[in-house]
Amino acid sequence: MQLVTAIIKPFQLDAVKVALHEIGANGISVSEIQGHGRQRGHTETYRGAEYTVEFVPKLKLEILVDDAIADQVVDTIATNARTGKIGDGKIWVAPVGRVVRIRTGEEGSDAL
Amino acid sequence: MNDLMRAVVYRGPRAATALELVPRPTPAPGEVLLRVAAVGVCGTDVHVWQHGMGAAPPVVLGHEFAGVVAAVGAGVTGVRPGDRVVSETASAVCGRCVYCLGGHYNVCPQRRGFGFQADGAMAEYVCSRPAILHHVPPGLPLALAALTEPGCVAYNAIVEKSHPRPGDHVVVIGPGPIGLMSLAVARLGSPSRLTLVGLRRDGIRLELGRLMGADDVIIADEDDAVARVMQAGDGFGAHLVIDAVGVSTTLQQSLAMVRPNGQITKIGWGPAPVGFSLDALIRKAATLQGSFSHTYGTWERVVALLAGGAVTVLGASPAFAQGGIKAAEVQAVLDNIWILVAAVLVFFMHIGFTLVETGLTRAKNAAAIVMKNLVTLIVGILTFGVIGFTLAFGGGSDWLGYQGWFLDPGYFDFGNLTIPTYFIFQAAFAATAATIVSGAMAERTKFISYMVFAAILTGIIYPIVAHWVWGGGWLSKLDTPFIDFAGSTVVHSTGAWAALMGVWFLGPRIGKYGPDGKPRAILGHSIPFAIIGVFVLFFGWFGFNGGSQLAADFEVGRIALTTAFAGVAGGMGALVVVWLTTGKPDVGMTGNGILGGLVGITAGCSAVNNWGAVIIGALAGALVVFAVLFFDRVAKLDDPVGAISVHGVCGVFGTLMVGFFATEGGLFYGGGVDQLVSQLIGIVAVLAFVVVTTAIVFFVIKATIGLRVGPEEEMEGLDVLEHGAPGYAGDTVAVGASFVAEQNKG
Repeated sequence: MQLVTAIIKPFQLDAVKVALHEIGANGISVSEIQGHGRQRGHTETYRGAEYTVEFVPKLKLEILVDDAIADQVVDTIATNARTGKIGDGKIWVAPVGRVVRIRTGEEGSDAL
Repeated sequence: MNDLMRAVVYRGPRAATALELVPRPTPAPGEVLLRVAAVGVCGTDVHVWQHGMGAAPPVVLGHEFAGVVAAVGAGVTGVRPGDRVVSETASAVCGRCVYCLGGHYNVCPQRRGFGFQADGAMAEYVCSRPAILHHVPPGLPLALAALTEPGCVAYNAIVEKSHPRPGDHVVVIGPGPIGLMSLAVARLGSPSRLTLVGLRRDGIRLELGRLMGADDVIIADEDDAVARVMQAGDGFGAHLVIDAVGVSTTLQQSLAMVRPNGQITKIGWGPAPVGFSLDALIRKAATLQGSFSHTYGTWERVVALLAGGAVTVLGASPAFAQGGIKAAEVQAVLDNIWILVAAVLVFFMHIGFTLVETGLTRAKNAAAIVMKNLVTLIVGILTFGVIGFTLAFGGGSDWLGYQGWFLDPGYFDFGNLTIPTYFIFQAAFAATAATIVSGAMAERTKFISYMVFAAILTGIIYPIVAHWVWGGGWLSKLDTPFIDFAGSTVVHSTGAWAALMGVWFLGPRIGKYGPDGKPRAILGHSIPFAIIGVFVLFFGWFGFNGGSQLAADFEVGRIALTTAFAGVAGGMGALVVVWLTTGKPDVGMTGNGILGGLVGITAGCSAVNNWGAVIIGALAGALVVFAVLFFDRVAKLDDPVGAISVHGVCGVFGTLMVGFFATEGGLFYGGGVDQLVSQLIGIVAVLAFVVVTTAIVFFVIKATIGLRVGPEEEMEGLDVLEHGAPGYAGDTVAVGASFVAEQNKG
């Protein structure tokens, strides 16, 4: 089992979600986060005083998948979250030791 | 133009009298053509139809009338088409006899009366002459003005011919229109007792008599009128009897009920012979006199009495009969209702201040800032009620009031406005001055310290300033009095100078200025809050300025208009300037611009015209932006909401602009510099007084209980550490979750 973590632009969520359902990735957790990548934010003014927007709003997606479809999930997210502009985000994959479904006690692939 | 008109034509005693088409008159030189708006049907019209009374048929009836001038003949001055007028009854007099020359033209032997020898007003048009026309004041309906004639008959009989003294017992016999009018006029002379005598068949007129001032009503066909009058008072009878009936029985009764040396004045007339002995007149040494018609001075006075509401005319319609309509009373009620509504609008502004201040500060301090607004109202209204109102509006010296504590009704007089109405309006203003301070000092001020300060500001400092300008103090007594109509200086600058001192003693919020001294933006957490707050303040400002007229009159609408123009112009001014200087149309700053425009017009909203309002508003809005940048970058005074700029800078600017833009006395309207100098004196005096007093207060607070929260508290947010709970608590960490878990365990 693998945990796929993706940081994407908030308004790309819909496209990513639909595409993931189509390839059979069932569960998805979404959280609102703020952060910056290489660009390190930009400058704005408020009531005449300048300030730097260092952290921009992003969404973090976490998806537990079988090893077999992990690459396909990563490719699907990458395709559907891409706008080609600065700040499209990142995806990374990490192995997972143990997964339990709380309601039934099922473990491993059955718990996905 | 139609040359014919409809008219009621009298063609001889008991001849058919009907609406006929007759030629419409044209005004000869020196004459005025009236379009008749209202004409009374007098008992005399009926008497003419019954037995002539010297009328010369064919003639148009009607002599109690009011109308609008339709045309004037050659040589007429003082009356113009469109004027609302009421006409006397003498169509022509000789102008040469001893009576005319002596001012008693009502008894000129050659007098020609409307509806008798000259065509009267039961027609669409009638010709009169300027010498007997009286202008009807605005607010007096023409239908009521037409009743001036019977009013003059009563006035002539009671005031000109009889001479009742205050304390007299006056009896009026006959509750017809003339008798009822006589009651109303007699009432003005403060009789000890006013008695009306009538018959059962007079019905509603007896009730009207009570409403128009009769103390008692005697029904002569069921009760012994003479005996009843003799029983009243000292038992000698009435000082004055007005006989408004005209049959011999009533004169006989008058003779019986008048006291020795008393007077009987006859207005009612009839052809019947007297038929009884007049010896009683001699034995009692009483005066018997007739009263006929009236003259110019009487008309002017009666028109004034009707317009002023001192004489109430009651009709037989149920609405009128309910209690009478006195213009002055209606005005007093309207004044109080409007000022109470305006006071509530100003109260509503506290919601606006709360929203602006909360929106422009951080979420971690939301509960603390709304709490400071809340306590402003709590402490402000109480201290202003117990102490401040007296300092501001009580009798005293040029410097402060000291008579009439805690709204003691014996010491205050606000004309039409009741003390409660006036107080609520003023209390809302006082709290406004204090709440300005809470915004400037936001996010770092100790709660208890602010509370103490708010009490002193609304209880003592603000009231003294208000006394100087609005309470009859020295600034209102300058040769050219200082003008601050609704409080650009009194309310807004006072709050702002206090805020300035507060911010100075406090220092900036942690993180506002970097090590290099450059200001950093600390973002407000809810721009929608701030802008809804601006809308609410704008809404309330119509009460703030419009209510400061302290009356419900036509001026209020004009004030509302200058207020609206200045507010939106201020928004535009700030929008343009902030856009050009920073590259973006800043939302909060545009909101500040609207508020700046409103503060700017507050002093002159009644004194300037619409152009003045737009210019003052736009400049004030532009000024806000520069002022905010100045305080932020140069003075390094950290004012999170821009209160000092909005209320202080624009308050001064608006107060000063009155000296330029006031259409009466302003420099731009040829009024010279006197007003401008007075404005400067007021601005400087208030600035000096508030800066010195609030500096002392803040210094003492800082040295004793402390002014500022600790750095840890400021960083965590004031909400939890000062008040125990955050302004916004997340549901997931709420108490409920652990409560449910504990319940499940049990």
